[in-house]
Amino acid sequence: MDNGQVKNIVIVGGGTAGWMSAAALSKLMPKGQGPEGQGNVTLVESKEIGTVGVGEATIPQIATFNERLGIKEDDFIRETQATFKLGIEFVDWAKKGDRYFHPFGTHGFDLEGIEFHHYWNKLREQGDDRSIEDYSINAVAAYNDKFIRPQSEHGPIINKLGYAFHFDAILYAKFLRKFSEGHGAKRIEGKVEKVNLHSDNGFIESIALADGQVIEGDLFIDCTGFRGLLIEEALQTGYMDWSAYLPVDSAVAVPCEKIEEPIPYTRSTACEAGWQWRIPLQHRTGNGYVYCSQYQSKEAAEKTLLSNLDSKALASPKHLRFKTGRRKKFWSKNCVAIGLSAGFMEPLESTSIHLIQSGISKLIALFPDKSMNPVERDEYNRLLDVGYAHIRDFLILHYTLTERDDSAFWNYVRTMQIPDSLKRKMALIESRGRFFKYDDELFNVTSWMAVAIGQGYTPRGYNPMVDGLSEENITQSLSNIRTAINKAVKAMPSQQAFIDRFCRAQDVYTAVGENI
Amino acid sequence: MNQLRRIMVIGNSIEAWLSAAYLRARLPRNDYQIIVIETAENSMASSHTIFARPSSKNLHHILDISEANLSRVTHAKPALCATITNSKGAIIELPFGQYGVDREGTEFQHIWKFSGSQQPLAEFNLALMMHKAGLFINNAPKGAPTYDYGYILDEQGYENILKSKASTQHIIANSLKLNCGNKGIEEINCNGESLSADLYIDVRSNDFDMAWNHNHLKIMGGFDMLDHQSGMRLYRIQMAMERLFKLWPDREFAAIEIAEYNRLEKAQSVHINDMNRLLQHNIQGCSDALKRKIRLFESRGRIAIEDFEIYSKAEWIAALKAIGISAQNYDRLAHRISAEAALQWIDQLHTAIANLVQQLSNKNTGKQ
Ligand SMILES: Cc1cc2nc3c(=O)[nH]c(=O)nc-3n(C[C@H](O)[C@H](O)[C@H](O)COP(=O)(O)OP(=O)(O)OC[C@H]3O[C@@H](n4cnc5c(N)ncnc54)[C@H](O)[C@@H]3O)c2cc1C
Repeated sequence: MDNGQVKNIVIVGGGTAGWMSAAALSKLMPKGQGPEGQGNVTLVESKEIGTVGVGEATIPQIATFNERLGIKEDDFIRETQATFKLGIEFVDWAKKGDRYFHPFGTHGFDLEGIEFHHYWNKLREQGDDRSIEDYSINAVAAYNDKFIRPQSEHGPIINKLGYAFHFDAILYAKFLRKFSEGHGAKRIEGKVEKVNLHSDNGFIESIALADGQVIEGDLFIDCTGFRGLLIEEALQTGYMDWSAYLPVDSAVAVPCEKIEEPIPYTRSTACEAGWQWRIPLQHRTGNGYVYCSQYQSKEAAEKTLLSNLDSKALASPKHLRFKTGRRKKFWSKNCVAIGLSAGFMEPLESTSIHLIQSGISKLIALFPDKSMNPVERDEYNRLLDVGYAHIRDFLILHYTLTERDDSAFWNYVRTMQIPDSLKRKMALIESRGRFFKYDDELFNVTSWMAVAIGQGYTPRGYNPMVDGLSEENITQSLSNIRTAINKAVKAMPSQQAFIDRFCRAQDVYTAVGENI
Repeated sequence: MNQLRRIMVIGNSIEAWLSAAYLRARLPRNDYQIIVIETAENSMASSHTIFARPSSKNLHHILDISEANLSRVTHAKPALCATITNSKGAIIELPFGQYGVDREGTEFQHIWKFSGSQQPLAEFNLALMMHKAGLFINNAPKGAPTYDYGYILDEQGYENILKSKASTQHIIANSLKLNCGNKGIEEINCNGESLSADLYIDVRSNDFDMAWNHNHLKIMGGFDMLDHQSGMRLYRIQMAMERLFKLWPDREFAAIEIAEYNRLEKAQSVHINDMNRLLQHNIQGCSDALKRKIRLFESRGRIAIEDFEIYSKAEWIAALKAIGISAQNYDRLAHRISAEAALQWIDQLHTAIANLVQQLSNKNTGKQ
């Protein structure tokens, strides 16, 4: 009996998005036995096309994904040559020679119900020039190469430590493939040549592979990367171009040899026409330069990247092109776009993998039947709309706050128009460091303050309620926090020691070439 | 100095005294003068009790009112749900606890629907079941549906506690006139005398376009029965105070911050109005957010959660069901177990809840 349920889910694409989707759906959806059976997951991928091969830095929310799937953190770290990430260091962003740290976790502690940064700002106004980073256990641990996984018995200071991972994208897809296949997902190697639509309702009926196979499905998940083979090429959903706000459109990536113990953070260094990332893994270091092709040629970008490597390149540089923005609809008819096919806002804050995760969990929460009721589809699109817009604004913040005027690119981003939603947020921050987080907003007050203050956009005032505590009292409280953080960090093992003890990868992965 | 120093609260009864007590609790005593201008008009036909939602525990923590004190002075009775009688006389109970227990990430109501259980959904809500049986224990036993609780308080006793916490000067206004200009209130004339303050908090309002204008902050007073029964009478003040403190101004009254307060207040009002519309069975011309909620619930029993949400999922489910909106279907994740296993599990849970309620009630009546 066909009771209208989605039984066959076809995922097209075997990159991070495809395999994360397959892992979650194969693990969490009911299996396909009996009349209620559904959720047969088939993934089609093409070796010939390959994956984007980048995307190696994450944010702390990924732990929720692993947890929901029952993936043990140490297994995942070992299998993907992962390291820990405590935040991002931004170098030369505000101006050349400058640096700041965007930590996970929090700055200090709220006092008397008032957010910490207000107290910090009061002392700053009174001449205390200590950085707000001195109150972030993440920043202090990061700059001391320390790490520990917080446990409840560690007490309140270490429990403020937030962390994510750097991992090898290719190994992550492999790891999830094994996981998905172990939960019943079926993998088909092949290149999709044609997408067949129902003549009556325009839904996707099947996909035809180059070898003649035709794969039918009830729900199609487009994980084909930037091109959006199903969502765009077949269903012509349309793209919202955000390049006026986020003008980078190209990247060149290359791994290099590991020459020292990995540091527990990502580094983002602003360059002439964009910025360069450095992501340390257990077995190698990932590097890439994200830039705007209008201001720098491919050759010049490659030269910039290679000249900034700290060791020997392990492969030839890989060039990528993209357009920042998002699909007008993430879910159209019986197709949901997840991953780069849904949109890409550039990798500055490592949000793409999170958006994959968010797309999957919302799809599961709103899982449809074959009729693809518009109610669920509209809600899915609305929620992702909101999520993308919040992240977009946070990314723009990094650019609009620069003081750099040493190149055409930085002149453009410094003076460009920004969305009203961001203008309002910035005005509130500037006024007195006010911040209200929306329910579906990814970045919290720590993130916004870290970037704003880090780029010299320090609030002009503080919440006057802060004056309720005497200056001595505030000075003492802040000094206590610094002391406690330094003491806690001193007692932590180095990241390398922690990895060696709990999650060192077995074999050092040395494959070159496809590894970026 | 640009700091606010003198703050006047204009209004009466719980609204005024709660505002004053909150200000007193959070503002340094030596730096701020708080004056209550006690007006004569009555906020509402009093029912002699005040209903406090579970979130009032935070409020009482800030005000340093212990549960023991609350219980002694106000004869506080715990409330496991808000009981609303709407204008048509229908009684609707909004529970402060979940329906059943979620299983492997699937919300209970989906498994219940999938199982085809004949037991009413309400019988899986421990908060509702205990409420019906007139029972209460602080915490749900392990494995049982969880819940929280609010209070029913004696209004006079509560006002007395708040007055003692506010411990502030107050003037009884036999006559009161606010002289308003573009920049909020210029001065007030109270009993023929001109008075002024840096900030005026007016808790008498029930209808306004702008909650905060320069030095004049209006907070919606509890003027109707629905607000009273759902606990919004206290909740509105509590939220307004929390927002005010996050945006605590100085005499400049930065426009951008005031606009943010008003925006957040509006978002809150939309949620309250949406719930009130449901409770009154009056959903025509409702907000887009409520339309979405209804459509999504009808489709598969899901509850859309919006920014700055006030009510829990269980409360929305209760309100939607009470006006006859039911889910046509359920979340497919329920299929992770077979229908038979689901039904068996549901029956066991039903029995466990019924037994628990029975045991508690035996204990209450001294039976074994
Ligand atoms: C320069 C850069 C840096 C990034 N850095 C980060 C980061 O640090 N953190 C982060 O979270 N994200 C980052 N991202 C984003 C991240 O890389 C992606 O979100 C992630 O890799 C998911 O990609 P994907 O699976 O959607 O697409 P892809 O990896 O491109 O996979 C597409 C899949 O579709 C298949 N396919 C395509 N066409 C066909 C066809 N016709 N038939 C069959 N199969 C087909 C391909 O074979 C492939 O398997 C970065 C992106 C870029 C461009």
